[in-house]
Amino acid sequence: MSPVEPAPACAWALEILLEGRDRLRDPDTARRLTAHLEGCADCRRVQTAERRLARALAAGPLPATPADLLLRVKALVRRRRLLRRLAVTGCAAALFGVAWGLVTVLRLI
Amino acid sequence: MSPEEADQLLRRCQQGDEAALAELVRLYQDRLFQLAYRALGDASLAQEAAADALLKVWSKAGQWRGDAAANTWIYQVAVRTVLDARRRRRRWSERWSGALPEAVADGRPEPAEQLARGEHERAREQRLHEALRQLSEEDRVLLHLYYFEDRGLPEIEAILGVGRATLKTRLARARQRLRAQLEDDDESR
Repeated sequence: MSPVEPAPACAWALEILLEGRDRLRDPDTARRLTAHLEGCADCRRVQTAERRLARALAAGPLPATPADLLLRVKALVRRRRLLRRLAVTGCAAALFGVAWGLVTVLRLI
Repeated sequence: MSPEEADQLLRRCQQGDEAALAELVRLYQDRLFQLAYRALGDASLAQEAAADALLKVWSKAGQWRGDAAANTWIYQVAVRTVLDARRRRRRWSERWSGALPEAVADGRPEPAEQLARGEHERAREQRLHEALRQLSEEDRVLLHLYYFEDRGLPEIEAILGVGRATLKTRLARARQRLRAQLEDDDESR
């Protein structure tokens, strides 16, 4: 089998192994792949390399999620609401100031 | 969580239901923190980015029209927020120090944990970590979604907004670099 042009069965298996991990949730696909791998050493090598990579990546240290994330998000939500209220109040005050100024000018005229 | 439950949760967020916010954080905090940590490589930056992502999901929930599944939409917002956090930090760093920040901060385990591990394993992990650092944040997000979250390419395509062919090329390239690192490890054994 040439690595450039794999046999159709190998092409299918390689696609599943390298680009379709999620498709293995389908029992028929998983069975078909297992059957192919039993008779194909080339694809088995790819599977081994892929498993090794996934294992190595999963073994890397991952810190625990900070316990106060909810509090942090709630604080961000409150701050956002406050800023919005301030913006609305500021706009209203500015509009009131403009209206007051206009009324004053009109009275003077 | 089923797609229907995610849809319902996002609808409750649209209505400003505070209990839905708590539920959103409870259900997604681990996944989004891990995604941010994989992309940014720094726990405090990841915490900030994950909190920001959850805030954005909450505040932008009204923009969700149901074109994408709720879970996909949440990830779209989260990935964008995480990558933006990285870009903002880079811009800030370039502006004030004139230098690029470290690609990824040190994610090595604590000293006590290190002692418990074998020397070879630690060295190998460090080299793999180094290889991950060489990848772009976008590629690290892609690897996370594919290998850690077991998501299929169609869903990753929707989350990242990248065409299938580009996605396949990026996945193959990232995999090749990491495998080369693992093979070097074997040869040096």
